Amino acid sequence: LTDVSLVQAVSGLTPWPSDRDLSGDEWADYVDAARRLRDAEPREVTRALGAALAADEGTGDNERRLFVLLRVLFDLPRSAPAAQRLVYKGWVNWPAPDDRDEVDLGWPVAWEDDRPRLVAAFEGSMGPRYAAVEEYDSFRERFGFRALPEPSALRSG
Amino acid sequence: MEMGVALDSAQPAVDPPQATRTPARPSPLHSQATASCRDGCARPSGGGHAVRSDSLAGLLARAVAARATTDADPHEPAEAAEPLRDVPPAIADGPQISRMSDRRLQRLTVTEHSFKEGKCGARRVEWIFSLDKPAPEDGYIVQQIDTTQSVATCPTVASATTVAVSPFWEAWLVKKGDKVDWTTTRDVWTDGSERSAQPSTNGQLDDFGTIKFFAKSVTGDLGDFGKKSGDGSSDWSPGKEPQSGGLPSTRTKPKWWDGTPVEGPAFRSAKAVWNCCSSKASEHTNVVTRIPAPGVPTPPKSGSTWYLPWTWFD
Repeated sequence: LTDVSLVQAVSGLTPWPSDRDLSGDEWADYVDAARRLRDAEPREVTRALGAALAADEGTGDNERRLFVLLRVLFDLPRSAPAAQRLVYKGWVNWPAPDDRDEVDLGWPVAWEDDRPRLVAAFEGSMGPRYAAVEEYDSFRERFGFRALPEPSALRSG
Repeated sequence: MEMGVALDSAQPAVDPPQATRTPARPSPLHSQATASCRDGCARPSGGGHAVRSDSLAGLLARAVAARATTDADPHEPAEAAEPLRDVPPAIADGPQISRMSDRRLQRLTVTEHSFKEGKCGARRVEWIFSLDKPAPEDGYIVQQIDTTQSVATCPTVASATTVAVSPFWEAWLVKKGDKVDWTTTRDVWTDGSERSAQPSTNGQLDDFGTIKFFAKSVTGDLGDFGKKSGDGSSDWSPGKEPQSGGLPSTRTKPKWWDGTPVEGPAFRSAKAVWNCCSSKASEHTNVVTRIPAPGVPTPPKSGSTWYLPWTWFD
């Protein structure tokens, strides 16, 4: 059975915005959701991710939520050979490799002093649905979980 | 199955990757401004680009003129004399129905699955690509994507002449006996096109897809979603064009693309024309047109006139 509370935790997040960074409170919600995924059984997580995608109903909001969430959950190299970047969704603004043919695997989320921020806005997408389950499995095989900050440390006020 | 796809930066790029896959637009999270046709979208000198004049009115006018004179498709002149295949007599005998339209509608269908419209160029469309009859052998539904755009930051007025981004091709594997690929079975829809709002700009952006079904014996092994081709020399691989996500894709025109497909071509498009320059949000406009229009794929009744709002490049 799908853990409905995990799906609800995802659907309560602010989708990757097109015009601004996420606020401290919104990032805290992501960190809180990431903690729940981290502490859940992988099988439960994949079921929840699949259920969230299926519930999208043509908005793409859950694709944008899950894409950011997985980049909060996993500790991804900021610089890695381009060949290590695997593409699971056709965002229109995937950054090109740099002069050394390297990319930021955590794009569009960057971390400084345990605080996340967006380095790129959502601009659009093409092609099939985001393969979030496959990306979660891929990240789990290749990378570890991030040492997540306390959500309260990110909240304003 | 090998899932996930590596971006292949060593591919023979027609244009600089950033220029080819990212429409020129200001990024709210970056300080560097993009041109966005500030200079009137002068014709680019680099290879791989083309320029066409296609205001919405112009496109519609050309579509009307074209359907008034001929139903033949410039993409497929060699097939015009072919007999109809597997078209129900009730449709084939319809007095005002072209053979090309019939064949497309009967064999390779594009159906709109969902549509959302936003402001200032924002829209999201999802389509289902399906064969009307089971694939006679393994094959690929292959789509060529042509994006054209003209966007300017207010108060500059976007040029009526759009700039065409170099095309790319992407493929869905359809197994013998199936009508859709397996991602469509899983996800319900096949292909999408989404653009976010671009406040304080005006212009137009069109993502146009030409879709054909080829036998695998013609295309060779292109791979599968998240899976590289078994042919190491193939131009195709997931990630060759990141906008295709996990689909096998390429920026090199396949040599068989202009040949005779098993089915197709069919078309899909999402185009927005917007103006968000007024200080009053109530005066902002965003006109989105889609191909196929909602409800269009239903086969026509015998004797009816069947028109599609097709447009094509000169």
